[in-house]
Amino acid sequence: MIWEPFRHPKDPPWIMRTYAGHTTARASNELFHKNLAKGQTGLSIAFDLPTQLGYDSDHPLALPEVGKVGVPICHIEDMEVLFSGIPLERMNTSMTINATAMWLLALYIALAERRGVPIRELSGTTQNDILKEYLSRGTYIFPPQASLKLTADIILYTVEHVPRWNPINICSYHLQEAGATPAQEIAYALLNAKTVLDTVLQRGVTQELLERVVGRISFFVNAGIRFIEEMVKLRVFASLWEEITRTRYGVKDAKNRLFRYGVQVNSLGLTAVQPENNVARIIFEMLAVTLSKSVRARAIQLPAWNEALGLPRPWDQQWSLRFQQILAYETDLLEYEDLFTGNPQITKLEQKMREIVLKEMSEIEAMGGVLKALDHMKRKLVEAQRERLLRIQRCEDIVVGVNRFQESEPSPLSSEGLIHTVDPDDVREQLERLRAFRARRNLQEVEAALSALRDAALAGENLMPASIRAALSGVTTGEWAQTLRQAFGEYRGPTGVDLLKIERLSGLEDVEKRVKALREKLGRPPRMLVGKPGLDGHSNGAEQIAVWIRDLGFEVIYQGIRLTPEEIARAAIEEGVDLLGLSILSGSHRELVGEVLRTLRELGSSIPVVVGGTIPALDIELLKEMGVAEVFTAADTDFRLIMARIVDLLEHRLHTPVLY
Amino acid sequence: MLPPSSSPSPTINKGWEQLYTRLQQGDPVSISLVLNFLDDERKETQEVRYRFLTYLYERRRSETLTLGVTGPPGVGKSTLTGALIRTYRQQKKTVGVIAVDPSSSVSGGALLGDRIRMQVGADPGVFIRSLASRGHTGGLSDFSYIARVVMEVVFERVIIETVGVGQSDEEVLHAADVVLLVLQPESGDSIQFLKAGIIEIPHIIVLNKMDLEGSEYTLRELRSMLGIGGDLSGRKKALHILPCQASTGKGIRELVEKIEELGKEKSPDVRYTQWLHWLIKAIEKEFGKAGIRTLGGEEGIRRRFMPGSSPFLLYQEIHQEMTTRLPSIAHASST
Repeated sequence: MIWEPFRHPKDPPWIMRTYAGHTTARASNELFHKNLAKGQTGLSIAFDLPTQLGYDSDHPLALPEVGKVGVPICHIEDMEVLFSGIPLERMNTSMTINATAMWLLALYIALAERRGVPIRELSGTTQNDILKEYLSRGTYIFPPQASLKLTADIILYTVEHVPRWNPINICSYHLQEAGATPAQEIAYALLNAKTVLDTVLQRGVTQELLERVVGRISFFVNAGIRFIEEMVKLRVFASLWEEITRTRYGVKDAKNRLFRYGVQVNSLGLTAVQPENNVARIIFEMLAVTLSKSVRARAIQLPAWNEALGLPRPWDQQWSLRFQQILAYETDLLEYEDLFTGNPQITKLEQKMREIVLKEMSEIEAMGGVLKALDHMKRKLVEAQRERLLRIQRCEDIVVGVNRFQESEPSPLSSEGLIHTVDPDDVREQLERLRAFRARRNLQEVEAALSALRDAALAGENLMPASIRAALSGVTTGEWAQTLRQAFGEYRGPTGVDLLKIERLSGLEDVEKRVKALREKLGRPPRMLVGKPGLDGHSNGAEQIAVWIRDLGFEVIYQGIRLTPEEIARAAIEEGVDLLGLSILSGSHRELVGEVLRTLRELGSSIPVVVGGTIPALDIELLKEMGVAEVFTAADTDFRLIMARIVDLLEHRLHTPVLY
Repeated sequence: MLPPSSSPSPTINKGWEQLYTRLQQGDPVSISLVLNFLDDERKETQEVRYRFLTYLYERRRSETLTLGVTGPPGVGKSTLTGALIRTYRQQKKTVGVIAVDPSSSVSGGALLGDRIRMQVGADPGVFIRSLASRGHTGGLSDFSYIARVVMEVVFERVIIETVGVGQSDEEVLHAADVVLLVLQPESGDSIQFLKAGIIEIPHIIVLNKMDLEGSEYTLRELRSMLGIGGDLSGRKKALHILPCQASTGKGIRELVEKIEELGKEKSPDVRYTQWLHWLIKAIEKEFGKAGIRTLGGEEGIRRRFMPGSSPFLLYQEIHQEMTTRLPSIAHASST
């Protein structure tokens, strides 16, 4: 008998995206076309940090960051170029944008209007989840209440006028990256969702409208390497969401209670050491969100294998896209119904996880809800991250290539051209276009639009219409954001590092002794300042280092995020620290570190500087030539060695006469 | 240029004079250098440090006003301090800040996070130094007092911010001209402490976060406690209660006006008493209660401490006397 494959009718696959965007709108547009030709079925746009934080490309805080982690969009012409040749009515566009989500959506809608595309036909997503920004990514602008108002404005506007748009992606992805356990991921994301929905409810909406709003809520989730547990996590997520929407919000139509989500798989666990192993990690993590049909992802973005080394090139992203395509088109996974429903082991695991989630949720609700408990939630994430790192340090959790199986054949992969860099000519082009745009727009219209925006903000109106009008009149990103900064104020989020208890790690006794000796020589504890210059808000690394160093006996001034190089340099001088630690993950280390060093010299200080972050191997030498004493990258996985090198540095400096 | 730890000579003073000129110019590197030089608990450097401190003590600006900001954790002290700084800067006054955070009792390290909340940016007219309490349950380390001297040489306004709950609120009364106790609605404990006389009354109670629920009620309660016939109305010190919302700046202008008003009324006696207190505590720490008795008790010390003179100079004299008199003490105090 001849074997015939069963060939059941296959489910259509999920939307395959690659998170993309860089340098300029033009370059990004070219990349989009290439990706679409390769079979990508939706766009996922990465914006640069200035755009995410409401600064034009020529703002002093923005300059070192233009085009580095995404595309700069300053005005409607940039948007036009970004989508040149792309039919908006047929494209599904996901925008990873939060604090300025309203503005980017307004630009997108304004563009559609200009092109004569009916906005009812637009489909896509704005991430628009500000609460997770306070807890993890750090790209927020306004205080929580004002930010929630903007979030609700977008939701209520799109539900009426752009019905196929997903106005919000409640994100649990970033929570996992920040350290959340699977239960915390679900719990905090659901709490966020409730907070957003309650905000919408407070605006006084009909039940019918509420149904539609709930139906448009989607999630952006993470998938870690323990892929069975992760799959169970998704099943628990879906069932809790179904309950909450039914019981708390009275949603009648079952379709509106579905747990719809997109996913990017875990990037934090990708290693810089033996990076080729990451291919396996990415593929197994993808299984977590595809294996179980009842909770299969609607859209998947995969990181590239070399994510931990810097910003991946198009070839690296293509490879990850191929993983998705092979799974969807070559395997038979999509031919089957759900393989796990009714499995007793899975059911038991689901119940257990559900209990823990409910406990986590009631802890926060007892404190009065998310807005009152932000500090506490942030602290819990930092603690969970710490636990995880400690388990890795103690080899309780294995990471192949890092704390086991570290021996390797010489790698055939070269590090040349491994990291995508931004050409300074392209940045110049962006600035020139910006200048030209400002010069040729109608200033009166711009003023009028900004005035109307300001008035609407102070009057508490829905700001979408005024923002669309502003986009059409030629207002820039920085102008839109600045108007709202003045109306709502700016916000400094919780750091999560205060109140963290001491953890003892073995193997540090020698370093501790040396710190005690330093203390005796100095007549006081050694002091260090840790801060993040520029706009990058990924503070996990800096937070963990600050806490480790304190546990060793240092006095640590943790300066947090979003500081200008001058602010950091002055703070280091004022605090009289023995060492300054800079954390930079946005790729802008050359400019930012250069600025810090220059300011220190100008003011007459010679405080030693160390740098940690996403630094390609080639740049390590460069930074040292600039005057940096030590550079730490993702390849430095053992905290104990990092601490030892820091203490080495200080001991060495003690023997040389220091004139601050 | 750093004063070396050896015997006095005219060349050292020249170095000190250059340093002093730079301090007057507000040069942050010099201010920091001085603070770091003085932040040193080693016995062998004490002599030269205290001599330098006397030099600085005699050069404190006469018009400087030092504020103390204390209160339980979470009430918004740092945000308030930031608002005060901004107001003073608008008035073109320079501001020096000492922000004290608790140290870990286990490792001796500390996470100092007040300065970020002050949101001052890179203003050369402001200087913020974060200190750890270093195990002092009162919330102020010895170095806090010393840093105050340096700040009073350089800046027109000095703010010392520290966490206080209950009795440790008091500590800052010994270190500032005008003391603010910051509370927020629901600061039940602190109000009880005030009523029960467990804590000394500050000059101003600042009720922050007036946007929170229960703020009007708390304000009324406080005012009635202090009004005619209220629990605290009989106490000696005048006491004011001012509401504000530090995050938006509401009420800050009025608060600063009141602070300045109280500042003008301050008498030199207050500072004399404060430095006497420091002196007595320093002697007691080194020589114990027995040492105090040998000097004729607190009264005996007070008689020797001339108004306007340097407590550091007197301390050194006394230290010298005590160690000469009692060689065993000399041995113990040099280890």
